[in-house]
Amino acid sequence: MNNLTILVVDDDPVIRRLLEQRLAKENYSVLLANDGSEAEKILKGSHIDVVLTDLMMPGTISGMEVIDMAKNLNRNIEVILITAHSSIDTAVEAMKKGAVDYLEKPINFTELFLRLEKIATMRAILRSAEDLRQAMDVTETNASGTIQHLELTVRDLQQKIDTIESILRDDATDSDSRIGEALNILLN
Amino acid sequence: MTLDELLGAQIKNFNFQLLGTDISDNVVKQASYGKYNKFEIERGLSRQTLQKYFTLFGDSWKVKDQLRGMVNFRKFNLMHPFTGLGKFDIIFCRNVAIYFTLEDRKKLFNKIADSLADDGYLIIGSTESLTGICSRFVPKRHLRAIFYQKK
Repeated sequence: MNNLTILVVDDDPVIRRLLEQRLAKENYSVLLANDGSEAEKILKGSHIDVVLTDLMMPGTISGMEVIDMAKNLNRNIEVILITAHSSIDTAVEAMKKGAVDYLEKPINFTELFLRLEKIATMRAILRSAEDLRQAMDVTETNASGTIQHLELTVRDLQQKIDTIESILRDDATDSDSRIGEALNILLN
Repeated sequence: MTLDELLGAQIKNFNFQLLGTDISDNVVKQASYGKYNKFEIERGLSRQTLQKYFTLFGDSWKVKDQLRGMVNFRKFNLMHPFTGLGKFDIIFCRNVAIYFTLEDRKKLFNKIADSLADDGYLIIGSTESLTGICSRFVPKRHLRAIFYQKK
């Protein structure tokens, strides 16, 4: 089920290379960016499932901004933040912005793979929920069309019955013309 | 949200009172808090509407206070008498009665008719029907939907 496409954003070529190799070995598709603006280009041009970004990077776009960028482009992109220092505050800040998780350096790959697997599982569940929801929407639309049609038909028939009743009860008119009028309404 | 979108700046010229009820304390609490997870929010809300009326809160979205302040939420059992709730111009009772027995549904929609202003509107779920349940309403079509007007 490792069919996630992962964008690694890190200014350190050694870490980029390491992540690329380890992730590829686990059958993930990997794209690389060495800073925020390169990440932006890739995010706009390709389908990405997960962004793995370093917090501290040179250039104008920080890891924090990469979160905003990814989330604004597509809410379904999950972002995992990599932090150099064990800074809980930064991590909490990142989660508030919509990051799904954070990892501390040095990266523990077992941990990383577990988190990615969780994301993949969650995606599969969401996809099947989405399929069910679509099926439900179609059923609901069809059913409501039928029910609404019946509801209005019942209303119209009731009105017809009421009219016919008042015609038939109208003593001022003779029976033959009452019946004629009633039949007229009925066959209309 | 719909009122705000339809009326825009005109909204301040109207006096709306909106009441939402549920039998569960938790649901009432959740509703007045106004937080929705990303799965709940994705049903029929455009990104634009979402950003206009909601604030991102971690992985969830929270209704902005300007909207939240328009609605009162209250715990209420629909099986109890409606006295004290007041009269309403529009009542939405969607996909609730489906869990009731036929007898209870009859009682419920009768009470709803009592609580509606003359010519007031009732909106029920799109797959619900009042046929054989309550004859105090006339169904009327508006575009692809149906609403019920009190006779």
